[in-house]
Amino acid sequence: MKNILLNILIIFLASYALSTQAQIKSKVWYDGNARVMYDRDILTGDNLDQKDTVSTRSNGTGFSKIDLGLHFTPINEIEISSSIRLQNDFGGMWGNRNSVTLRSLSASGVINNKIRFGIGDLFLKQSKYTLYNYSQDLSHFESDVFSFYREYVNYENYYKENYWRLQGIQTNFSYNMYNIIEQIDIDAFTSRIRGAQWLGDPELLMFGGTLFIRLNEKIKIGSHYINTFEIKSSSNTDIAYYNPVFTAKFMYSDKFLDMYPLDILVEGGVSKRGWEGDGFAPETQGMFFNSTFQSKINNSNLRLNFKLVDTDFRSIGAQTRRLNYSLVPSSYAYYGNSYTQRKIGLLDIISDPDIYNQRLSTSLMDYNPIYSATLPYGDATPNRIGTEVNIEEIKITGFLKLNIDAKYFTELIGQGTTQKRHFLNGAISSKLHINKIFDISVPIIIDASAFAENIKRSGSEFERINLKTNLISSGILVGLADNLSLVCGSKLFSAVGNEYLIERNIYDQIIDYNTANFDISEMILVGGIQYYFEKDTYITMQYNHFNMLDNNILEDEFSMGRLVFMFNMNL
Amino acid sequence: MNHNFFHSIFFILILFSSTLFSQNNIQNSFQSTPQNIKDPISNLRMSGYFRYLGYVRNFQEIYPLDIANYYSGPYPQQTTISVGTGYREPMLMLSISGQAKKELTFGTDLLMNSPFNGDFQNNLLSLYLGSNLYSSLKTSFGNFSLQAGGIKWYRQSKLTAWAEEGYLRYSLFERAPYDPLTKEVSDRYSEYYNKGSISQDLRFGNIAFQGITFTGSSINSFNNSELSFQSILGKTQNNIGELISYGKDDYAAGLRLNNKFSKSNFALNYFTSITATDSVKNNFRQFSIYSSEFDFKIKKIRISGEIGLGTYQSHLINKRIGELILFNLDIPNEYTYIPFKLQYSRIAPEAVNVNSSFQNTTFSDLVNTAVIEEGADATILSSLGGPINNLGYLANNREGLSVNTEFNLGDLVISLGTGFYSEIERVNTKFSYNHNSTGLILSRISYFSSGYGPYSQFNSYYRGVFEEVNVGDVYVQIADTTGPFGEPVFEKQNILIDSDSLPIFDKFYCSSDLHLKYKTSLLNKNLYLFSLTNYNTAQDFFSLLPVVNSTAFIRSFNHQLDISYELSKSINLVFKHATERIKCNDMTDIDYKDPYPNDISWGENSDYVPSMKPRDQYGQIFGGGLDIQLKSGAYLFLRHTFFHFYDKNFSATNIKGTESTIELKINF
Repeated sequence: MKNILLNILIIFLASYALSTQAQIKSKVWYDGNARVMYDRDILTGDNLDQKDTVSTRSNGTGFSKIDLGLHFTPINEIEISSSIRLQNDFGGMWGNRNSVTLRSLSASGVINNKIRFGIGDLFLKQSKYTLYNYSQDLSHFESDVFSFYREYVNYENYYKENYWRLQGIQTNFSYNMYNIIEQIDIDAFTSRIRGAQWLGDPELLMFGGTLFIRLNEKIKIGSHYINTFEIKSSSNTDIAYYNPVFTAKFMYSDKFLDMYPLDILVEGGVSKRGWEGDGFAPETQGMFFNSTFQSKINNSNLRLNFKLVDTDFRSIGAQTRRLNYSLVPSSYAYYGNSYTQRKIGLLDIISDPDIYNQRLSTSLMDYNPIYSATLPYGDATPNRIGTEVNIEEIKITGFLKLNIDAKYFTELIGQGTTQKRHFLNGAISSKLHINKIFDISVPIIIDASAFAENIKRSGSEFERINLKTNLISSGILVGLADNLSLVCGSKLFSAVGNEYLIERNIYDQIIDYNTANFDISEMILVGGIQYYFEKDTYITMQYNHFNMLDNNILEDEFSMGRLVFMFNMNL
Repeated sequence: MNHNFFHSIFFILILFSSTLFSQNNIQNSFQSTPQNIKDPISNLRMSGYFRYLGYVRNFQEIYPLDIANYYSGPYPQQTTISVGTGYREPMLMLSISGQAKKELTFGTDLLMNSPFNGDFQNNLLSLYLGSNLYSSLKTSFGNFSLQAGGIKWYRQSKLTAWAEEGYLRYSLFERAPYDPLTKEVSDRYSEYYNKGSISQDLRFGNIAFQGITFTGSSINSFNNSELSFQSILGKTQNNIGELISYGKDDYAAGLRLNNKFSKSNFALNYFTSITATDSVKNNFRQFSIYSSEFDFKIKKIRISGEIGLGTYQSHLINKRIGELILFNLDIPNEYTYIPFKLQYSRIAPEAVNVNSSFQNTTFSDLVNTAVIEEGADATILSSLGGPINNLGYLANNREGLSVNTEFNLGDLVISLGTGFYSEIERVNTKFSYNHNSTGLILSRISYFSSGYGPYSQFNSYYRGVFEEVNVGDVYVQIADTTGPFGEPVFEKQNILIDSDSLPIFDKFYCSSDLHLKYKTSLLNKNLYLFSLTNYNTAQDFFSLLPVVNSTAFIRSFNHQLDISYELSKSINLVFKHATERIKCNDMTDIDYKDPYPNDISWGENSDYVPSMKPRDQYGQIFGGGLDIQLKSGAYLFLRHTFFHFYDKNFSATNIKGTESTIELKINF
């Protein structure tokens, strides 16, 4: 059936294209991104002459690249898009260290003013439990000082909002009925997650669909379906992975006390995941339930959420993480006389695009509990029940705004014990416009945020877990002239306590627990200047200082400075 | 849950969607793809050129090859047919530039090449010079601009960052790939006759730089003067060697502050280059130049120049400081009937800068790192031996004076000059010289190579070849002694070298140019004649003028005659004749051994009888061609050249043949 559907879609689109090719007269337009980045990392710290006689004291890299987006409109409402990357690395001249590569290729359009389609490189998203690309760890309430790094990492990894960049075919359309059902919206896509590998894994395809039914202006019901499956016959194997997920949702929009907008979302779903033909692989079935209440009171956004995600709920599209802790950082991957592999730290999470993942993972990826423990797989994190409260844009005065976020979750079942972990997670951020207080013409803005997470498990000594992590971020922007600013910022992170790191096999079954005692502190200090032409078009030059100290292994302390220059231009 | 059930539902919905449903809004939040709302670039410009260069070379005489463990035998390729000459030159150069916002522009360029050899796998698409981002800002305080990215052609001052162009005395017959097309077919020749120079590509006189460039101009300064500045931070073409590995420190930085008055100009310059020479960066080397420039007039005499200090240090060498003086005096014809340009230069041996207009002759570390990358292969191409340069090309560890003049006698333009230089400190016993006339042809035998040729004497760089000559080993015939075949027997004596292999002589150099340009008409058509003579010598005694006898270690004579005849408005006939003579005296290397001791392997077991004499080289070139303007911006250039280069005493050096090129160049 899957193949039939694919074939029909392809034939349908191809025949339409053939029927219209006689009238081709392309219009072309361009967009894209141009970026120059240079950085020079400097190893710092005390007694380097004794502690580290092998690592280079400094290392510099850089590039200039233009991603030229070419958009052809051969037929009205049909667009062919491609992005060509023209890159030369810093230090490469006369043809050395340069590349011309195709970054994306797609076609999209609207057929007969009814059916929208896209084919090729697509950005796809569904429900938070079916297909959703959650932001990376510790990125919430981040100071603006660090935003250029974040934007760079996300751009390089094709992280566009919470969409996954996949390759396939997508279509959607709506139908107005004007009776008991006002409107039906349908969206469907199919994607090739992993292509054929010679003598390797089979093809991994994904098929997804969404059906929304609007009963009236206030009530909408809908459902998502997504299935990720391997084509057994595409490789020399008898085993094929499958992971269908089905959700149903109810959406209600109204006004509370005739004043405050109100949105209610209730969603539930089930999943199944297994390996057909593999006698050792269990077939797991799981479910989730989520309800959200959202309103806007006095310009503040209030959001209350309760969710329950079953231990065996598996959804490849929603549980794949951005950060891949199995990769090594680009800067000083190894250091010290013992040539220690450096663990991914906060600076890497902020600035290194090479530790991020662009492929959906059929198994749960590892995470580091010090950076993310409450919901490491986003809302779809299995084995969680709890609630969260989120209030944004709380206006204290004309110059001070606050955002608050709080979560409390517990495990549904204990891991390795009957005792369950309890997760308490809170964050607060504020932005203070000093210039408004003192009536200064140039902007002076301080933004700060505090994040704390506590994991607790009671019981006997070997069962007990108590891990506390804190992150305090701040940033100061002082305007020097039109659009030219002095910026500085900091991130102070600490993690103290113990946890059991989970080891899983390829079926996500827990096979071992490793005791981990944390007493880690990390510090990032940044300072520099930036010139903003407009959003996403800026020049900045900064110095970063980074220190990571594990008080349990003092000799592995790592310190690094970085001079970074970035010229980013959105075309 | 049976997932096939869901497949069926969606299959049915999609299959019948186009026929059953109508809709008025398809952009709802149910969609799995995002909305794309983009503000496209206001304009994108594409320009460039197409340049097809067909090249055929046929050797009538060529030396055999003897490459250890690879090949021994006759030169395997008597005839070479290629598209392009072998350098990385674009067949299609596509320059793309756009304006993102009013003050923001970007540019990049693509190189497309095909060898047209039947192998479609070798087609090349890559970046030519790189991608650049530019921003500019006009304020009441001044105008500022910032550039970052790929190669920028940059110059600062002669002693800091500069590619020397000399006194613009050169032959026009051979075309460089980057030579621009002229509006009229004869403009290349008429401009050279009338203005003394031809239109050149942007790179001419500049060095290649990659990194950040920040400049400011039109800044009000004291006394109604105007302040400007330019600064760089990044890498020049001499900072890309990757001595250790990619990413290790190898940077250059420069700053120039310039204050311009109504009739004078003063500037302060700084330039430095630092390179890590080990993986940890305990070892390094660094050179810096601090200089001030001046340019003013006293009455009608223009005084200009640059004075500064240069430093060099490394982990092995404590900081050494030396002076740099470049002093120019331009005396107009009001005072002396004909104008004169006098130049005094003194560049201490401690002052070194491989990115400037003067050549390094003192620090071997810097010579070894003067790396030019061509594709994936890095090459090391420069000599530490005292270069016997043409007039206007300077070197460190040298002090001297030159005088130049240019005047007209009717339709004859006479440009001539002479100069003499002496070495400040004895460094080594080597000299080097360029093959001014035959260098381009010789360089095409082996691109970017060191030590090729029958005596491993040639070293090629981009469109040129130099040779190194050792002085000091003198072979003296032993009286009353003969060899087994009755040949004389020689004994080597080091009469110019001390026990530490250092010279016990001083080096002196003389250079002279005579450039004649004449315009006349033949059959009512313009005829241009250009005669360029260079005569340069190196010796161990002071001489005001080039030495004409064998007391000079090396005498290098080149004469190049170019003739251009305007056949019609769209066709130019061009001819060239060149003569090159290199003559060394018997204090220099002599031919004393068989260059192919194992030549039995290819059946040429003839006895090689060393001449026991020094270099005595002859070069001859006869060429003819046509410049044809097909359309405005489209030219066809045809060239055919006979060449012969040989050494009377090093008899295995005998290279003779023809070269033909067809160049179709179209601008767009």
